[in-house]
Amino acid sequence: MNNLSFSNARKGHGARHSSFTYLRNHWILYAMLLLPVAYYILFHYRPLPGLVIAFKNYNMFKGIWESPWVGFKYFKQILQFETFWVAVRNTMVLNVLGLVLGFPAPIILALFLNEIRNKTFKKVVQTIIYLPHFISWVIVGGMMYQLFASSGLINTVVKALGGSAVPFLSSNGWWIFTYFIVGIWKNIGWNTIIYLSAMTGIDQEIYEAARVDGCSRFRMMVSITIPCIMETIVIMLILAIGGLASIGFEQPYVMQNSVVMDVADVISTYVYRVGLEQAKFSIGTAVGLAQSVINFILVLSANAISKRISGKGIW
Amino acid sequence: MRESRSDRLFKAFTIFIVLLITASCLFPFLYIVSVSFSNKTAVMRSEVFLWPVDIDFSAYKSVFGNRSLMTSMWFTIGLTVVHTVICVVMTVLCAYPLSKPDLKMKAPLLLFILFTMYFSGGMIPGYLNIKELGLLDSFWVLILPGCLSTYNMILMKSFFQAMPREIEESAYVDGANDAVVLVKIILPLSKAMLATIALFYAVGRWNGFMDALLYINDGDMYTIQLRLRQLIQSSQVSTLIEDIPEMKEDVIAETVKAACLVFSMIPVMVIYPWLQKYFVKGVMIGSVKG
Repeated sequence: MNNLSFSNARKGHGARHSSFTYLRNHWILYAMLLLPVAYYILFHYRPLPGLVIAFKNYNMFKGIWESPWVGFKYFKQILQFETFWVAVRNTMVLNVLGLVLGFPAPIILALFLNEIRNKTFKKVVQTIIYLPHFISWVIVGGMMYQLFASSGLINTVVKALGGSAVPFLSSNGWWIFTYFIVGIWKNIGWNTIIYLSAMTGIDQEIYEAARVDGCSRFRMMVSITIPCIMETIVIMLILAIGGLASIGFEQPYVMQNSVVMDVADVISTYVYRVGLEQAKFSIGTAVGLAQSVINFILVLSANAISKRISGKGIW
Repeated sequence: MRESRSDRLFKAFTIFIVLLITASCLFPFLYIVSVSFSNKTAVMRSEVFLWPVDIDFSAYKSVFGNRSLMTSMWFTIGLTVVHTVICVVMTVLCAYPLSKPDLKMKAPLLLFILFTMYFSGGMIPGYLNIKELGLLDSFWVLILPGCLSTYNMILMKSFFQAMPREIEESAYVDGANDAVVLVKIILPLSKAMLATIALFYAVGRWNGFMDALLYINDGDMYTIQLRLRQLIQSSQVSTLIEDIPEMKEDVIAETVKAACLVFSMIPVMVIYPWLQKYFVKGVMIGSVKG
């Protein structure tokens, strides 16, 4: 306490002087930051002014600044594009269904893994279920075709069993189904890590006490393990809700094909297709900007909710 | 202690589910490896399931004999090495000063960096930025725009912060400056964390293809993922219109496709044992620090 007030007093007395001494003694720290700061300016801040082309009729030869202003013209236009609304709807459908189906899966798997007492077996299982996380989406897409295509392995088995081929990749409903299976396959194992590490933090004496009282294993899982990892679950859920408006590019991009675009085109692939492939830069930027803003609001409100519920935010 | 009947049943059920999920995680890998080593006609007659049928290395011969694929492979290996080195250096340069509790201007610097995690220009302004910088179709476009990940930087910063301060204090007393302390004292103690970060970057570079898709047109600079994507897509078109018999001639054999997939997984598989250990550690640190 004494020490603290002493240093505070000193700070107040010669703040200017100490700042100068600090800089002289630690200028190397700031020199280290030069390259990282240059990186953030060059690749994160420098693109931001480019957002104004959402309000301009962008002309590649005139550049960002010389192109004429058009106000909200492109935003109004987008709202009338049917394809835009299709992309918005698909993003929401895939994300909401992904949350409902994909979110509980790793929790359930982690709960079951936690019941396994044999360490070697558990380790082998973990090594295998983490593997898909390290495989690129391009490869996963390639494997998917080998398995789910009309002449793929699964349909071969279905036909051998007397069924008729299932259009996993070419019918709208089945495509959505395949999308989830593939997404869950890639992430289920990896996403158990965070829950498993929460479970290792549970006091073993609670289980001991329950066992003495004759509690069954299932009952312990429901009444001890789940409540103890509830906070982690809530935080992960809030994070997931914060991400509802954004969707990755790679999974839908490698999985979609021209037959199922009605359900497979999402905002990220829409921006890529319209903005870059068709070179409608202004429209692509407008869609991206609208999404960024909604996203930002969602993340901020998710954080606020988290603070309300668990007393602490994500950051 | 004797287990009750319901406990045994529950245990059997959990093991069954875990085994089922594990098997389905592993199966696609086994299947494409089997296909890649099988005879073409056996694959076409759908005889391959878990083991190669009529073992045949011709698919791999055509993969290793394919110049563009090999070029992409070597190019991507070189790219990954350069990218990883630059990334690790940049991450340390950014994380170390910010880990100092008494760094002046720390709060505004952090705000400046963290803002970019939550708000970005998006795909098109990013593309135009790269274009204006004259980086399109260059080697550096695959390295510089991703040469510092804020997430990894924060992991690294938390790690530095968790180190006991006494370690460096004696060096400061001896008159060492910040650079000397970092290189001589801090970094040698951070090898495990540096390895974790390096693996994060290396895998990200190896598996990423969106930047190459956006910024690279020159075939000589196709990364392995982009090359693979092109290959899969060209055959995907033909499977969608497989009813047209004359198109079938152009279809790349399934065995060759499978061999390509396996081929491009080799580097990741080789380092997987280390990958897994360090990645799990990294995720745990990340989750503790939130």
